[in-house]
Amino acid sequence: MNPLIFSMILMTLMLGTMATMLSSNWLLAWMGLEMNMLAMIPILTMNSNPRSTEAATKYFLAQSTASMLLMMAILINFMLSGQWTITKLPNVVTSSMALAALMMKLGLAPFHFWVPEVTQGTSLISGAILLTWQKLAPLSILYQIIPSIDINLLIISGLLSILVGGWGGLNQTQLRKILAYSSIAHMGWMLIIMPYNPSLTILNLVIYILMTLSIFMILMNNYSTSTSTLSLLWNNTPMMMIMLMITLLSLGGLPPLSGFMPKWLIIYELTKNDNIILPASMAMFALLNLYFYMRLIYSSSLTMFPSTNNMKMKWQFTNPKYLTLLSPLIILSTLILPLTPTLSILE
Amino acid sequence: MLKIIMPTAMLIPLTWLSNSSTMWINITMHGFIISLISLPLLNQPLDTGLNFSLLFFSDQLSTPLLILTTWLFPLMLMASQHHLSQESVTRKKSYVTMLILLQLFLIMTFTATELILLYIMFEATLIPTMIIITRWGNQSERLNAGLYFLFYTLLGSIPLLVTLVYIQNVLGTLNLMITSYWIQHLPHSWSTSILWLACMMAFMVKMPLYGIHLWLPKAHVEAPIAGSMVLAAILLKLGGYGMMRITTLLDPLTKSMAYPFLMLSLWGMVMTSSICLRQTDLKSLIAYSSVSHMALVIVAILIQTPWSFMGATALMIAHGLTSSLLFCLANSNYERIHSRTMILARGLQTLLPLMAAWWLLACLTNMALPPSINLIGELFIILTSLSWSNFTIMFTGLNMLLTASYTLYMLITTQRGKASHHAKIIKPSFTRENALMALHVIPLLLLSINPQLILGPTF
Amino acid sequence: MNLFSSFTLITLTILILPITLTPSQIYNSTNFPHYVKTTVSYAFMTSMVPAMMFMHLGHEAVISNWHWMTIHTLKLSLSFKLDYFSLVFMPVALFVTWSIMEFSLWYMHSDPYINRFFKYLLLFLITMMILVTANNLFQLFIGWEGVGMMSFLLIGWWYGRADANTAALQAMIYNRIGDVGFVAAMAWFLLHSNSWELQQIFLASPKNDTLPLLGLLLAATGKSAQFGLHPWLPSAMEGPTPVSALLHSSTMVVAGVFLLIRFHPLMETNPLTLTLTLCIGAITTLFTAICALTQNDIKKIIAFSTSSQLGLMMVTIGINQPHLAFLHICTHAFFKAMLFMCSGSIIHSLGDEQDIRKMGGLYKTLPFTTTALIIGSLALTGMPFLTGFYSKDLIIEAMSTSYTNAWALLITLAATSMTAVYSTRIVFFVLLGQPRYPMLIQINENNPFLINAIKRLILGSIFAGFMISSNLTPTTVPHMTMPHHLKFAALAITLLGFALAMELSLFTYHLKFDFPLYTHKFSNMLGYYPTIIHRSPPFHVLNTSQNLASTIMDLAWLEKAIPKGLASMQKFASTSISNQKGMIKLYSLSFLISLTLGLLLTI
Repeated sequence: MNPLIFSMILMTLMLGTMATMLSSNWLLAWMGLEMNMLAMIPILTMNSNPRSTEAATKYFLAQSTASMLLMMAILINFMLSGQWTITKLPNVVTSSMALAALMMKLGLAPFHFWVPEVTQGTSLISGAILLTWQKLAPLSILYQIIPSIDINLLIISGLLSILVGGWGGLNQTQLRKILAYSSIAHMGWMLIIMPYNPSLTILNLVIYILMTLSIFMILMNNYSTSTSTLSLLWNNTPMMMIMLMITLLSLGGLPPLSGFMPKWLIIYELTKNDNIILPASMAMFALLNLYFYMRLIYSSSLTMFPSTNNMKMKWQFTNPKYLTLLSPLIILSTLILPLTPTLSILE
Repeated sequence: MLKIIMPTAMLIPLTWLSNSSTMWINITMHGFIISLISLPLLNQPLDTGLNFSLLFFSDQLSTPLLILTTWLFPLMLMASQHHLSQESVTRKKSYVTMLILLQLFLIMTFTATELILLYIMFEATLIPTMIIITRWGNQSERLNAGLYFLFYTLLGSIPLLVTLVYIQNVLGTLNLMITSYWIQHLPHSWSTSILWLACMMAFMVKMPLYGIHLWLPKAHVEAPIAGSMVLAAILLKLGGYGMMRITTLLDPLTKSMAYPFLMLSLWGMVMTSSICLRQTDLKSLIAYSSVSHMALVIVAILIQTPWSFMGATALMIAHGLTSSLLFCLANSNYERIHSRTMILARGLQTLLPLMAAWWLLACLTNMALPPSINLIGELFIILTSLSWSNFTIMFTGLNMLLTASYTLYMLITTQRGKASHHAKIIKPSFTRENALMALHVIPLLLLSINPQLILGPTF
Repeated sequence: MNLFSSFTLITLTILILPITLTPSQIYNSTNFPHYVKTTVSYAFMTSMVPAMMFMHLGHEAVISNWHWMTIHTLKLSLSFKLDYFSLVFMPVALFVTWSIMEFSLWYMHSDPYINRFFKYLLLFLITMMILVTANNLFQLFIGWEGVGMMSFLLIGWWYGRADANTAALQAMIYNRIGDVGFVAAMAWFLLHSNSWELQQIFLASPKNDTLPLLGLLLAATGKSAQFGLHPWLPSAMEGPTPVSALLHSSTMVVAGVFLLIRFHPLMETNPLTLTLTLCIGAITTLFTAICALTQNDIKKIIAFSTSSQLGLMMVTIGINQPHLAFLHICTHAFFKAMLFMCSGSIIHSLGDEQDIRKMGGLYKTLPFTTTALIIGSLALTGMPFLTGFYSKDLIIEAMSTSYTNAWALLITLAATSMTAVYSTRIVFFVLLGQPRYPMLIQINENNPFLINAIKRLILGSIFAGFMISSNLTPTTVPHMTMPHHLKFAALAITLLGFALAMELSLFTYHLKFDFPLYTHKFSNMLGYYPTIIHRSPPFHVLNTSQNLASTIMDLAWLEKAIPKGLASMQKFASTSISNQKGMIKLYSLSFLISLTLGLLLTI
């Protein structure tokens, strides 16, 4: 792709998100979502092949359904309240419809089916954008309308997402699909805590983005997209595999890594609101995710798969890629648990 | 406590900056120095322990375990030298780093004042242990073992996390120094029973309680020597430590809730001992013997009397040293015979007489011969369980008998008999190995002179 | 009188000295066994001092305490009780050990690890000393387990032999069954009298003490090879003969009886335990005597006779005469150790032949051993004015005049006559008749180590009983008067046994082999006891552990229930939830359904 065009598309992508986040007008926010979605499509088809075209089509269909649903919710809301300002949605129908639309955009269960397919169909970098940046805009809208949304729906769909994210990932060998399922599960956590403490959603999102980005960057460095390619990397980039392991464990939420922080705080917040069974079951279901991360860890770093002899020398070559962002990202995504006490400002 | 934690943390740069030829000696010596620095903590003039800061403290319960941890670290290094000798320097250093991390987490677990810090560190020990087991284990079953280890512990401990957080919401604090004063008596109800279960289950899995012990034989058998040592010696004790700490929060409930678990432990103790009778795999036998000994500790902790706590603490320390010693011995056999099957190592007394002496001592302490501290522990536990109910003597007595049987079976099978032909070309035992065994045995013997050091807070 | 404790301490220190020399060069020198032997003889001499002082002064006991630790209200101390039992037993044990060590110099001279053997013997002796001097249950337990463990090591001395190893394991397991009783008793005493000090326990004399006393009885049954737990003692003959002489005749096996003697202040108030002790002792003495009748292994015969004598000691405790039992312990030590040494001499001379059918006519070639063997046998049967007489006769008299059940009395008497029978059998087969051993064996007993050792014990077997019983004030009132037939009962029965055995042996000497009787089989197969007990229960235990504990529980149920069960659940859920079709119409359908459901739910 032409760099100029690429940068323009990227700009549009960001602009769309920014517009959604900054606007207080429903229409403008919706426009931002649309811009964002339309800009995403060329990114998805960056490497043009049938798979990416299919992915882009699916993405477009799912997102436009969501957009239309959201538009309808906005219009009904305008009809009832007579204003475009983003405030509470007083009507149950509008709020539920808006929620469904945003869930579709975020890829939360039971609207999640497109996420793994689309992520799998595109290149790693588009996948990374899809699973990180694309969550910002819908979440920011959800953040604003959360008080008017039925809490039971949220919890049911959040738990469902966590389960789907866990079970779906168990059955995969493709890394992008696995990461997509892990994103579904993490979105479930964010959704459940949102009515109680939206700041924790943001925290969870930030940490999730940090971890997912670092994993994607490691994978991008090696062009590995499946477990089997991952298992041959131990002699190529050994250090990076160790980093991948730690980041994956952090993504699984194992203390004392940063991934534990949002989980801990969410459990804390939920128990404060007299929910005991809910956080316990959420944490239990999160173990499913940990299980398939463990599988990745096993194949990438804890075992040495057989490989040809000339492959074994590959680690001696210098890596031409220079990933400046990777090291701070990995540090942030693994080691910031001790900062938890300073985060009490979020409460 | 920082004077122990900081040097331990600084061992990591020491490892990576050391010359490859001096790496082992550097870390081992510093490990010994750290354990030396931790020794003065044994002087506990106050009943409440030494409160150093809001984060860390040590009392009569945690200090022996802490010192056991710091003591075992250099021993683990000594034990691992041989099986790592084929590896590259970087891998050696990463292995050592894992051990250092493990020690760091363990120290913090044992000294944490805040229960949630205890929990985090308790969980944190999983990562290095899991890496040690699955990366440096020998057979392909190690992958399964690592998963079992990780997921049994995590499944058990997630309810604990939720409960701890809940307790924090109710009490406003999880500081161990304060909670014991603030505690309200829990009423008998279904929900408090579940609270009790949630609190105890994490530690019972770690102990492990019979029925949820399957991870232990797998992990012990598949782990490399240092992994087996630290698992048997310290990680199991985390369970006992945690149970003793958390039962103060669960005051009147333990009395009624303990029944099924006491029964299960007593039964499981006999079951696991009898499993040992039929083992052909040396490490598996030692692992099952750990389960059986830990069942005694569970019984003691659940009975909740001062004497039983004394017995539990003493047995934990004693078993820590003994089982670690047994694993070292098994490993020294393994490095020569290249098999864990006992019958292949028969008659080694003829070839390695000094090693046979260590074997004998290890077996004697394992079957709790007086005046070893194992006996002090077991005796106190049998005593308290007898005071709980006279019928427990049937189980504890049977277990004594079975313990003696399988321990001597192990001794006879590995050491006695005619030396087999394939064993005639084995290496003699190294000074390093003899020193390793001696460093296990000496504390065992010295402690039996003055066991009150390890009798815990109720002494 | 601090001399008691200081001299006893000197004795113990002297004994420990050679052990501490292990790291030094002396341990590696060939003279080490000699040093050890000399050390033990010095220890014997120093131990005589407090013993004689005790006889002279007539003290009750001297107890010395060193504080070890205090746990709550319990004070644990290192305490030595120097009383009648310990002060008399120590010189006896040391004397016997001295002789046996000298004997071992001869018997074990070709063993490459003779130094270690002596160290083991010495370690055993030390633990035995700890056992007899302990005033504290914990300390007693140290000695108790110590002797058990040393017996394990010494029985398995020839560790290349499978038989030796199984015998050692067997001894340890049977002892361990007894230890369960000991530990239960320790726990009970600590709970109910808050002390492990013997005299404090006796002072407190807690009520309902049947449970701990039964525990102690179990312990004694295990250690002293009483009926039920007896098979290890004959098996223990797999060990070297000096070991049999020291551990399995004179010292270690009497530890059980010694324990009950220590606890007689409690035992005598508990009729149930006393009766049980009596019955167990009586059964043991008869049963093992029957077993001894038809054995062909010379060491096994002596082992069974030891077991029988131990049964007699138990009987004595059962009729509440602990001092008599103790007297029998002391006298028995001399002649039984000597009998073993004689058998060792014979076995060694015949080139490791233990079968009495392949001996015969040894009175010509081994005159000195023959003398010793005959004196020993006579002493064992209680021939008047030999050592055995002074205790055995008293025991039988005390029994026949006490209010005990006639059943126990009768079988004890029967066993006593059998003692004469099997002693005669040994003498007849080993010493008399024509040689049945290979021609080319060089027989030589002219070694000072052998001669001196046996000589010393011959003196002991002749005079020790007289000296001990006449120098010590009797602590229980002896029976002053009794009818003649009771007085001579023991002697008569013994003579009857002799006559019978002699007659039978002569009768059957030339008979041809016939199909053996059931009674013979019963006796020869050790009452079928090992056949039954050593096959069925271990088989079932091991089977249960394999099938139930290992296969059913660990490998099947527990594995299936938690890890595998969870895994299959997740697998099912995972496969049924994941949709790999990638068809957009399914997505839209799912959107529609969930949207409708959601709206329905909220509205």
